[in-house]
Amino acid sequence: MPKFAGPVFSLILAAGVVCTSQALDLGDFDLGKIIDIGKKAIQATATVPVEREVEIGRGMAASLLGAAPLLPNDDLQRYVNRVGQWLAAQTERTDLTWHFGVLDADSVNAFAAPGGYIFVTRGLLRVSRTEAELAGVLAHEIGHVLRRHHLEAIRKQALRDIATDLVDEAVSQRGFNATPFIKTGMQLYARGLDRGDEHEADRIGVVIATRAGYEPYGLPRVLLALNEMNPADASLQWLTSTHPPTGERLSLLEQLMLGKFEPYSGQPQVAERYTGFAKAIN
Amino acid sequence: MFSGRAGFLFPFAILLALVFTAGAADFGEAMKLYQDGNYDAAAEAFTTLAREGHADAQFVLADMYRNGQGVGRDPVQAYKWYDLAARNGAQGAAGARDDLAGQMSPEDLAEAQKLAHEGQPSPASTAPDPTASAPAASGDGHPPQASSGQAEPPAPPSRSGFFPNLARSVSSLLSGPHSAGTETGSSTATIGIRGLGAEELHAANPDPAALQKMESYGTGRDDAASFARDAKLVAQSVAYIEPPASETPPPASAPVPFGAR
Repeated sequence: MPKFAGPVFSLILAAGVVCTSQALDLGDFDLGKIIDIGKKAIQATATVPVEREVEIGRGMAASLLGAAPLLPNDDLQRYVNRVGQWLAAQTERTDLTWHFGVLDADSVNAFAAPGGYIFVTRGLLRVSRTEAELAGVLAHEIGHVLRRHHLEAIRKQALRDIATDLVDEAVSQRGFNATPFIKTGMQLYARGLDRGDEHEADRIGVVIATRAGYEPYGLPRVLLALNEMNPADASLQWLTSTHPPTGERLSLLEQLMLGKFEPYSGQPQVAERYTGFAKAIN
Repeated sequence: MFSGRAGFLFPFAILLALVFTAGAADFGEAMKLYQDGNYDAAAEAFTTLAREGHADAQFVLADMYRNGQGVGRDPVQAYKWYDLAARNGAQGAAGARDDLAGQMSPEDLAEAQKLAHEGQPSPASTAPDPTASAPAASGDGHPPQASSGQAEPPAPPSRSGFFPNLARSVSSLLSGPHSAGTETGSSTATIGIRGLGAEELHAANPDPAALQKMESYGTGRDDAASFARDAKLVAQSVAYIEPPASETPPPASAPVPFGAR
């Protein structure tokens, strides 16, 4: 066996390839190609550096803003930012600069993009009644960023699409090209994340809102309000098609929160400040 | 790993605390105990205030843990209280925390950072007893309301069902007409509302000017902390919730096998 078989073998292993005994017979193999493929797969599976995460997230945020404009109300935008910054301060990702925006759209929804870009729609602000509820929604989106849900989904898609040179472009020596990743990310908004990711973001959301000193049931209250709406309501279609059923989310959260969050239930809901800012959109 | 540098920091925190909280009677009494050298009583008083979310008390208590005054010297606890103090807006606490972090072993620091955000795992938190009303003498990270024994929240504005009562709401909703999910009626499309959906996203061109505008709304941590104080929001240590045992999601970061397309 050639002496370089060892390093190649470990390269392949690291790339997650199942090695058959045949693969070790290097007689007919193009060694350079194997190494090349292995390297690419490794780089594609490596942790995405934060600068790239932010670049992808900014691209997705700019595209979202091309689909729906920012609500033209500086006071409300600043208010949502301050709620969001306070929430983000309770998290472990202090390496990010967080940004929050209200989209001028009636659809009831909220979004996160990698790197700390969070959006809520005007439709969602209409459904919410207190700052604690808004905080619950923002914290759910923050949860997606904390656990890098979109980034991970994009990365997996990139590996699936490896024949389309997505990963090739990413690791080319010309430098990082975020465009294909941004496109993949935008498809996620239409398609939705994995159901497990949404449930995880729910679990994180209630914890972060509680850490920030809010009454813990803001997110469940919004879900309850959504559940009480007419499911045929046009403004709900997008959210419904991209998230697990609201009732399922509620009952999962309820099971997990019971017995743990009661001590915090006296924390403020901050209704007045919320309605003061949100009245502009009603 | 502690060095003698702690001594420089301590008077600074005390001074800041005196300047910024001259009006707080309890805090003043605690400070007097401290200045009289009555460290045990001072530590007790500051601990009470700190658990109520008093940022400057949290700052001083952190110092006391750091220096071992009235409490056992404990850098992990010191870090936790510095961090909470910083998050609640105590001036200088973030610097003190980071300074301390530079002197801690990586293991201690990792534990402290976890503790700072998640609170201290204690028997009480893993098996909550709603009837327990003893003052939280052993468990840090309990919110001030924990000892009140009654967890009745103010009624939510115009919303039915508080979450603890949701069992009924949820089950009725799940068995109600919504669960059928087939009766979509006449409006299944997003026509007639200011649309934002898959089609709009697909057709969208990036709007970098709007992005810049959005980024201009950003605000700093100090501003966020004062914003929170205005609404009497007090940062708490709360651990993340573990997923339910029944839910077994695929490992999030498992590499997709090469060629599995």
